[in-house]
Amino acid sequence: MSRPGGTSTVSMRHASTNSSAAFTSAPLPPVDNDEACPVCKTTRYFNKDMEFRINTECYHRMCKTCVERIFKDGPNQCPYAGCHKTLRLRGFKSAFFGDLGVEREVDIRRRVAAVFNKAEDDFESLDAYNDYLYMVECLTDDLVNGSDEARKKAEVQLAEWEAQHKAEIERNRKLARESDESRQKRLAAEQEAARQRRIQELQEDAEEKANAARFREEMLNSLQNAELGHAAEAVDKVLLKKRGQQKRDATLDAVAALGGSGLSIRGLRDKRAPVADDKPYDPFGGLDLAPQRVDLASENLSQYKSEWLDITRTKEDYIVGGYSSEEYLTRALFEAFSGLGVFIEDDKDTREDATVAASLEAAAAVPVGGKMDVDDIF
Amino acid sequence: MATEDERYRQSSQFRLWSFSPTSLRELRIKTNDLAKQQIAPRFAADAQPEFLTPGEESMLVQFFTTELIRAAQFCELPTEIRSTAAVFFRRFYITNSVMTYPPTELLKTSLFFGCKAEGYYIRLAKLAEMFPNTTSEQILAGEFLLCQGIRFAFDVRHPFRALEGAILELRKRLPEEEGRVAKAHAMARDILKFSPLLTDAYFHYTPSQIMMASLLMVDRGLVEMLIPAGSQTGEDGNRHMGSNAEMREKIMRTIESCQSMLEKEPPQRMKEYWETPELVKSLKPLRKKLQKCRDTDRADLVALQRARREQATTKVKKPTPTGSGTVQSDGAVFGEAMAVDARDTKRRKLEGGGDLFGPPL
Repeated sequence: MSRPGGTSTVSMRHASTNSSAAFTSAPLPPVDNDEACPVCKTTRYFNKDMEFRINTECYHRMCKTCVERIFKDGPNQCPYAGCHKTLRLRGFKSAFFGDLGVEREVDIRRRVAAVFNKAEDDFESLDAYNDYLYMVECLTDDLVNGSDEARKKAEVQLAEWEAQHKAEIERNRKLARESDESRQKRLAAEQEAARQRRIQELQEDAEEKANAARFREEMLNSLQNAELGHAAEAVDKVLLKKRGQQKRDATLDAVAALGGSGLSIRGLRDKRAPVADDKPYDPFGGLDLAPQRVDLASENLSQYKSEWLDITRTKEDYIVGGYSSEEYLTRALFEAFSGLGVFIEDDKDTREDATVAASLEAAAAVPVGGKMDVDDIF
Repeated sequence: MATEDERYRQSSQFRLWSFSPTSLRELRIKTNDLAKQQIAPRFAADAQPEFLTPGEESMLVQFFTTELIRAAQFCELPTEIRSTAAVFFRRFYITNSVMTYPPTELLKTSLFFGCKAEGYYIRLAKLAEMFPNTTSEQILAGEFLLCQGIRFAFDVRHPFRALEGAILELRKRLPEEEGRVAKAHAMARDILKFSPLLTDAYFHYTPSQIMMASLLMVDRGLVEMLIPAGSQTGEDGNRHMGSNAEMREKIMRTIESCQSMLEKEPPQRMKEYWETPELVKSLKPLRKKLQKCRDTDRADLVALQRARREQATTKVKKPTPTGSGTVQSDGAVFGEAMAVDARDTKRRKLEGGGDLFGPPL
């Protein structure tokens, strides 16, 4: 998230201001002075293992011994003259970058990124996401290069935002961690699969070599044992055997390839879980087959009565077999009203040309149709 | 729109086999014309027979439908199968002429195939035994032809189950008028078994409308009671309230026109068809006419199918085991005739250049 080269992407607003001059409250020692601790003046000549530490409060550099000496007994003031920041032992760390200005910017960016941790998917449009990124970048730049006042203001904004969106930030962080974890898991699985493949290949190689050796031996043996003048036959036999084996191997390979367990594609986007719908799954996709002219609700169906319907409802011979009188009822009642509103004369007259032409065509086409030479050939 | 109607619109009966009266008439005329065009070259130019008119064809189809129903009754086939077979038969003769394919053969085929379509598997040999001078091969010969003719729409929607549903609904609503409902039920069922099959009701109305019409013939009050329930949420019911009454009016009008169609062939006519000699007599000249003008090439469906099959086997060069089996047995039985027929086929194929690609219908 936080990029070391971030300074080059500062927002337009601050492009004109001199970024290096904005470092007012904490003037840093010259970077190349790596040989002596500015606090105790020890040089590397005396202490070969000298390590420098910094604190993210003021980024003043001092050697490890000094840090321990000064801050072991609790918080204390920064030993630099003019710097009145109170530092704690816990806040010290070794710098990753030689340039402490960069180190500071990276730290700030990390801090901002932890708070403004929205992803592109959270926004409705790309424009909205870009606006958000711009806002964040302005704030970051204020923090990094801004004047004292701007920095304070940005600091307040950041704290406010963090307080307001605590839950959201936490959730996003969790999501990010999860995706990180799953990615790691996938990578591990891929590596494992690759390793397995390598092992398998090695095994196959070895097997092939063994096979070749055995085959040669066999051939020599059979040639040796074969009667005089039948050498060619013996060789043929051995060759045939080998061919059969190869065929079998090929099919085995094909089967293994079909299984496809060894294949995986990198860089596929993880599929998101489908949006949970409250409605139950409808296998017909909203197709409504319920007739409108008669009500076929099951409680209604039981009201229909006739002597043989009663028989099928009560007699075990039918019930056990799974015969359902409701099926029959639904069908009969459906048919009673199905097509009642279809007026063939109207329907067919309006579409006269199409249907009749089609039917004639069909009638004409059938006997002629090449494959179905059904009609006579006269 | 009521989902019931939408679902009916999906059926093959609506999509392929529903016509407005005018288009059905036109279709029949067209079929008749095509058949004439096709058959005419078979006869010498000076001896052209008198062809059947579309009206006469319809009469013949009607007559053979009664024959079919009679045959089904004789074979003790259930109502649904009987009706399915009859509808198949009628559908077939909309796009095929009686003059082209012999109805007497297709009648049996329809019966057999109706059994299949309704999931009632009867032994072919058993069915063939029921009819005089009929082999199982004869029944099978036209089977694919029939399927093609009905454009593979094997699902026929009948009004019978709809009637049961309506009766159940009526019983629920009128618990104290058991007798009236039962009587109406029995009579409506009788009507449905016969009248819609002999008229074009299946082509012009939906099963539910046919059922309502049959009830209307029996007891108008019952239908009046059923229909309001039907139109409560009729077409566009939500948009303008006035359309409910309008819809009901329209449904009633449709049902009434269906009723008048059904009344032309009330179930009492069933007996007339077979028992009054006048009617049979009046059909005799028609049948004679048919004998004269029919397509001689296609009169024998068995030979037709055999020729086709043989052609298929020679084309493929490698006959399938079943195919070759039948062909051989056929050859054994009709050896002579077949050879002649095959030669005939070839000759005609060479002569009739225009017909080479098969008939348009």
